[in-house]
Amino acid sequence: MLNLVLKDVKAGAIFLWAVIPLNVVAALQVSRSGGAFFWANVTCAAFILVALSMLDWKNETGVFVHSLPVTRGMVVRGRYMTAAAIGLLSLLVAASVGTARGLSLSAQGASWPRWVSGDIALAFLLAYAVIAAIYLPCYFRWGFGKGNVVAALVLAAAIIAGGIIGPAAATLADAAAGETVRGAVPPGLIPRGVAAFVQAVGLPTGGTVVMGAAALVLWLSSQVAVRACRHQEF
Amino acid sequence: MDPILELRGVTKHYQGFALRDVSFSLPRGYVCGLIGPNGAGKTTIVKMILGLVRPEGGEVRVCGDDPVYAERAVKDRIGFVHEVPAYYGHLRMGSIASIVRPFYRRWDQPLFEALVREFEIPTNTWFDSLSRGTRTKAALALALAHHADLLVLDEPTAGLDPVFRRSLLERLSAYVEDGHASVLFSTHLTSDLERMADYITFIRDGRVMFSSTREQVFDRWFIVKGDPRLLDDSIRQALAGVDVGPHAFTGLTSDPAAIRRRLAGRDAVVEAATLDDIMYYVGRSC
Repeated sequence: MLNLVLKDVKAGAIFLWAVIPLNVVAALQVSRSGGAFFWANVTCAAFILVALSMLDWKNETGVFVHSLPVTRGMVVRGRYMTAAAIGLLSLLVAASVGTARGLSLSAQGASWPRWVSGDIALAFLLAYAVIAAIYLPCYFRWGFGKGNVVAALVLAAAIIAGGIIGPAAATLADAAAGETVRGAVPPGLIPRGVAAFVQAVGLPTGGTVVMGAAALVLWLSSQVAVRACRHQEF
Repeated sequence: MDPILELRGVTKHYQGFALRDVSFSLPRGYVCGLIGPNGAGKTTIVKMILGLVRPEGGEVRVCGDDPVYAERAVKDRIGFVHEVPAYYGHLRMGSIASIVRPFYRRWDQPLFEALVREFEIPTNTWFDSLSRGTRTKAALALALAHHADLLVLDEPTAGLDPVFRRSLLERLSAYVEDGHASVLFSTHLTSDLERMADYITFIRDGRVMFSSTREQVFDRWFIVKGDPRLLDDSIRQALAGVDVGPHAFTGLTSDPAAIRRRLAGRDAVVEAATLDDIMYYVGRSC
């Protein structure tokens, strides 16, 4: 399976390295807004994941990859491992950029930005895991073209649902955690929910639960994707 | 003989096309030519052998294993060349090999490098920039470099120049010489097979028309040419297919003795058929 991840790294190196300039550009553009920076990072990571699928589609490598001595399940799980690696790499770059911004603000006498913190890093992982968990089964079931459309529709529905549920959840979270959660934390159900949860239970417990939730979401999604890929023919 | 490849009663239905009851086998140490017109089902059969397409009925066995359930073990033993080799176009040959290498237990890097040199594959060129023939050579080098038990080649000679084609055929003959490996060679360029195939399997419209040794094929089928006025009902019945022109007829027969008796002393000849002749006339007679 590691060979499949290495394949993705070698084939997609051009996009994997893009995570650094993309984050730097995003940081320069949105450094005044933690919320924009957070979602720009999530978008960059998701872009790289989709770009890998695009490489397979553009080069028509389905027959090549599946003629290697691998099972379909390994191909799917390998891509999930690559997705996890992309998420961690993006987080590392975003944390570095955020820390640099925080140090620069501190040097100017300003306070450390709220969005450069452990709970927001956890929220990043969970938000990215949810996107990957929606996207990958669609890709493995319907391929790049139709799969992207279906994934985009599902994500749009999730965002709309989040927009409806979000304010109510945020109100509850604010009530539970106090005014500190609102305002300084990036907008959206996941960052606000994670911030409130971590504030309530502490970073070690919250971190374990949130990372466990991200892993569970990806694992469940991979089960669906393996089933979807089982029916594909090349 | 120990079959390295066996298909028994394989069926698969698509809209407008079906494989029906496809059965043939290939013993170790031999080359089998899978011939048939475009759209006959050759590529579907090749993909079934690799587990890329799943049969609805029947069995496929590679070294005794089912490619669907022993996916990884089966593919480790197969060297595959697709009719349109597709790798990552923005990578060079070395990078593609470094992707492929770790997957195979028996990858032989010195052999691969020797093949790249022998086939004159440019190592500093993007795969997308290679010609069709060079891409096929690259796919052949990758397929040959891991000592596969079974080489599955789907139209491998399309796009190759005649000099390389001939040397490839010699290399494939040598590949099976030690009796351990076999080659399944799917093509509609039948002249390639006349030189080197030990077995011929002819597919048409998803059915196996015949599957036998090359000697049996050439001992069975003959071309008959003669004056069209000689074509009476008894002659027509002995022909599997016939073309009638204003000055001559040409037909295929599996009963040359009967034809020779009936046309003895008359303006007609019975001669050896080529695979092209056999494909053409047997296909038309169905």
